[in-house]
Amino acid sequence: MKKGWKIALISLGSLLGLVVVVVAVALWLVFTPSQLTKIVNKLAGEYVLAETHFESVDLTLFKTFPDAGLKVGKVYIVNPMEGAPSDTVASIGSLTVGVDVKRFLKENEVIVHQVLLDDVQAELYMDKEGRSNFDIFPKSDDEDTTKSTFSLDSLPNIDLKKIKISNLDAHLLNVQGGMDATVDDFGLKVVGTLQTGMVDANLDIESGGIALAMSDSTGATTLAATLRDLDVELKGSGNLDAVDGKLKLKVKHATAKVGETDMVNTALQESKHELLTLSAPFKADLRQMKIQLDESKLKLDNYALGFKGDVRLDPMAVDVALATDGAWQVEPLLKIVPEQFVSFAKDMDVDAKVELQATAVGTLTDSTMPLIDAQVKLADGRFYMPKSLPYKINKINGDIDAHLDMGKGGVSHAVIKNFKAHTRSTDVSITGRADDLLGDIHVDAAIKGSMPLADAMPMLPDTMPLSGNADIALDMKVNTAMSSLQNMALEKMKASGTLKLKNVDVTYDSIHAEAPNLDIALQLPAKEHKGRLADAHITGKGLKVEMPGMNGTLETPDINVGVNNPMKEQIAASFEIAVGETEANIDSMMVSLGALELKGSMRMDSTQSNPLKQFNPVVDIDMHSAVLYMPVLPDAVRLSQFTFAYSPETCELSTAEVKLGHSDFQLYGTVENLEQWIDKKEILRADLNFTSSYADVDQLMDMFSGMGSDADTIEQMREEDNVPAEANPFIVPKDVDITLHTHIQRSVAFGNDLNDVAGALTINDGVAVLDQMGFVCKAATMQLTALYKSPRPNNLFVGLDFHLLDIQIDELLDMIPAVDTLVPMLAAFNGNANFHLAGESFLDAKYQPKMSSLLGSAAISGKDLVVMDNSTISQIAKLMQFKSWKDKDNKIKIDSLDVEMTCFRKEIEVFPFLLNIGKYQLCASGKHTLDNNCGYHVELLKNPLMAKVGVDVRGNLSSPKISLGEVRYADLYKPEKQGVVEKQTLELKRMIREALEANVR
Amino acid sequence: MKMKRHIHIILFAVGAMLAASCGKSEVHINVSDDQLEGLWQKNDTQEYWRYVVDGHTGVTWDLAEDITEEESNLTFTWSVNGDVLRHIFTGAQNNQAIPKVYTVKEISSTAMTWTDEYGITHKFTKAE
Repeated sequence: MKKGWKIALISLGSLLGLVVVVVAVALWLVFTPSQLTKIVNKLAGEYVLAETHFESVDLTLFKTFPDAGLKVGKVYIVNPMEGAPSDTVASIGSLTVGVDVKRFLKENEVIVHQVLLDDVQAELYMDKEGRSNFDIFPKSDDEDTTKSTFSLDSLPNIDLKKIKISNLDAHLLNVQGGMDATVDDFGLKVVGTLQTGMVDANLDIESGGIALAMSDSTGATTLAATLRDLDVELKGSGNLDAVDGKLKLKVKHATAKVGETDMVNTALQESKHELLTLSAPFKADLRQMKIQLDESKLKLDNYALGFKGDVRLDPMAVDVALATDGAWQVEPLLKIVPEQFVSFAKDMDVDAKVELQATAVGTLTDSTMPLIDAQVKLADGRFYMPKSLPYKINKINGDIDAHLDMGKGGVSHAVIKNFKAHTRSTDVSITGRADDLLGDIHVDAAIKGSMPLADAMPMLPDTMPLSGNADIALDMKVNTAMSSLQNMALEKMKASGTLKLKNVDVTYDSIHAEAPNLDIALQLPAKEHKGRLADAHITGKGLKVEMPGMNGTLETPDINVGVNNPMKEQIAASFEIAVGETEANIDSMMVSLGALELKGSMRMDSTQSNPLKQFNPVVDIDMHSAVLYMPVLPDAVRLSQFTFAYSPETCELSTAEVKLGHSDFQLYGTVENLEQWIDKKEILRADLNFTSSYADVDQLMDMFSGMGSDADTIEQMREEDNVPAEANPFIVPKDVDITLHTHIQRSVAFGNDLNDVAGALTINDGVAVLDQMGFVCKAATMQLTALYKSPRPNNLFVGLDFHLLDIQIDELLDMIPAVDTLVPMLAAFNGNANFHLAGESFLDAKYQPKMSSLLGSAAISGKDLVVMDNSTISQIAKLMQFKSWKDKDNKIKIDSLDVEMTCFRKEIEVFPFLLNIGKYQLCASGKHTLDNNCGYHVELLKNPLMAKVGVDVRGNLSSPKISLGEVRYADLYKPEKQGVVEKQTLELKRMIREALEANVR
Repeated sequence: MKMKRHIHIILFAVGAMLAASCGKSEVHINVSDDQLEGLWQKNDTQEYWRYVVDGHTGVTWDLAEDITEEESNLTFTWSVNGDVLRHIFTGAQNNQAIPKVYTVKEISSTAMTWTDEYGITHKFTKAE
């Protein structure tokens, strides 16, 4: 490329030199055209390496007056070359050279004043090796091939009155350089002088058209440009150090394609305005190659940019101030910008008035670019991009200072002094700073605004399951890269500030919240909750929350939460929550709270249906003044204090002070498997301590009957079992394994007042066990071990191991009337006794024993008992001729009583027992049925007469037949005379008693 | 008076001894395990007794009170010696041995009668 131009310039210079020679010869030797023509053709043959032909050469004085001119008509230069489009290199219609005659005649100097070329056609060609068809002049022997340092001062005085080229059509094909250039209807006019450091020159260029195409080594076009109606006017005068000048440039039409980009698009081509105009008055220091631009204006289409300042060439450096001439309207501007550069705006409707004031200072090298400081003002802007935002943003106004360093490694930034925008009900203002403008823009800005949530929703990721509305007042500081913002890489962003929400009514995933006011302080990344993405401190009033299985109102919430990145995973959070008065519904349970504090963490898993697994809470809960209304309980559960730590594995209950119905109690202990129990995969395990000042056991049993069992299932079982409607048997909860270590000061159970109740109550998968429960009733010490099962509502099972120590017999009978049924004769005694009972039976739905399943044993022992008046005993005594068996108080006293008995179905069998009444000793045994039939045998073992008498008591208990019977037990209590039967009988008695007494603590 | 009283006592004692010595002569049978094995239903009731020779176990229940064989708590072990049929009930809860002894008076492949020591008779029909 450079070589081609060099050759062209050398050729042009040589041609001018040839002309000078011609003129000289003409002036010196001959003046006739024919002579001149012959001479010129001859000389051309000597000086030009191509075939040349000068059709006519003539002298002229008129055309070049006052200079003498040599006019050459029809010049042809022919230089065939392979690949060249034409053998003719150039065809010049007319060439005229004007020479200063006076200087020639007086000083013998050839001063060319004028060069005029008309009708020039040139076909220039350079092949890929760099050989050209216009390299037609021989190289001089002394041609300096070394690089010379150009200096304007080395130029000779020049006095060009006119250099004019008219109607030039030229075509240059440079295969080596990949250039194909065409000039049509080109005209050039240069008038000027350069004398002793002073210059005064005018240059006018007009061209009908210029076309240039460049291609790379593969032949692909890298540049294709055309210029139509080009006018260039350059004037300059003055000392070379300070040339006053002005450059005017006008291009009406042009095309330019760089690569695949149309730099002049259709809209620009079809514009009614001139494509490009430049007006640049200047002062130039040509020696220093500095240009001082005065108020200059560059106008592209209808967009004018004024500029002034200093430009230095070699190396290029600028110190220029730029300013838009008035405000630029962005919308039409974008239409004339090549599509490639505004592809981002393809789906946008964007407009604004832009005013720019800038300075560009610096050196232009391969690695450096001038630094640009710009002030950009936006006004009356609008933005609409329906694919991203369903609404228009308008009233965009901004004031931005930008510092651009487009050099290699340069850092650019912008200071957003003010940026405001409005849409629908949203107003946003931004101040701050943006760095790395030419790379990944990094924003450090303060954002303030007010907006309804609905306006913000389109900016949130589609995957965020948020809906609803709220009025948001935003006051945030944001520090983030744009790439992070676009990718919603929240973990790379910094943000802090407050969101003041009003009229909140939002749903996130399965959580719904409503509140008249909420203040949210955000901190990203989290500071308080290390490891979390962000901290959020939420305060407000009247926050209503609904989530699966739970809803409630938090009157004065104070929620401090650290959340993870919801863009990457489902919500996980750490939190500290303090709420005042609160009402909530958890499933069908209603909760009213005086105060609640929660501290812990949660991790949401919306794939789960189990509420606990949905939120996976690990939380410490401190609840005060709570009232729970549960549909399964007829009375509210009142918790004055409730403190526990929950995790998916276990729930540690520190304190639960409960009032339920007539009862009050405190609970503490451990509950396990709550999650699995809700999923019906594991049984609920609990080990709790239950202390109470008063417990209404009957009421509690009614309340908790069937808890844990499906209500429909129970109802179905009741129907199948034909359970009367009035019956409400206690159904032992299933799928639970709960142990209550009880200590109850006072209680009522089965109508009895029990005090100092202590022992363990276990409920294990439908089986309730009282394990060695001790208590005091009617001044008697009692111990009860019991088992209760409810496989069917009408087939309940109870097993008892019951001990009453040192109890008044009448009180025993009063407390447990069934004892009178078991041991009818007991009612005849008065005094204190020990009572042991082990028995079991099925019960019907009304707790009535099913006698066919009754099985048990009992032992009664007492001392110093008094026999009450009893007709049966009186009859027996009479029959046995008892005399003087009553004491002085007329009472029958028994020294001791030890009775063992068994019960099988309706039969009560009393094993032989001794009665010592004064000087009499009796042995009695027998059985009776619960329908009052009896068969007893009483035998007199000791009496003053040593007689052995047996009496049988048979028939109905209320009026038995008493008669003499055989003697059976004469040897029963005489070891030396005991037979097998006697021994077995006594062994059986011993086993029963020992077994019964074994469990007494 | 004293003499009269003494006579009364002597007569009472003699009478008692006579009464004691005037027992009926009883017929004793030998009952085998195989004769007992199976399901017996107490006559005119829904009370059932099942005897299993293997292990000498058994169970009794009363459908009239809505208790099935599977639900019954009245399981027992049993043994028979001559006509004495001895049951030891342990129950479902207290694991306490409670004996019930009966005397088998009659037994066939279809019927059985036993009495307790107070003379109460129970009659059964073989159900299985």
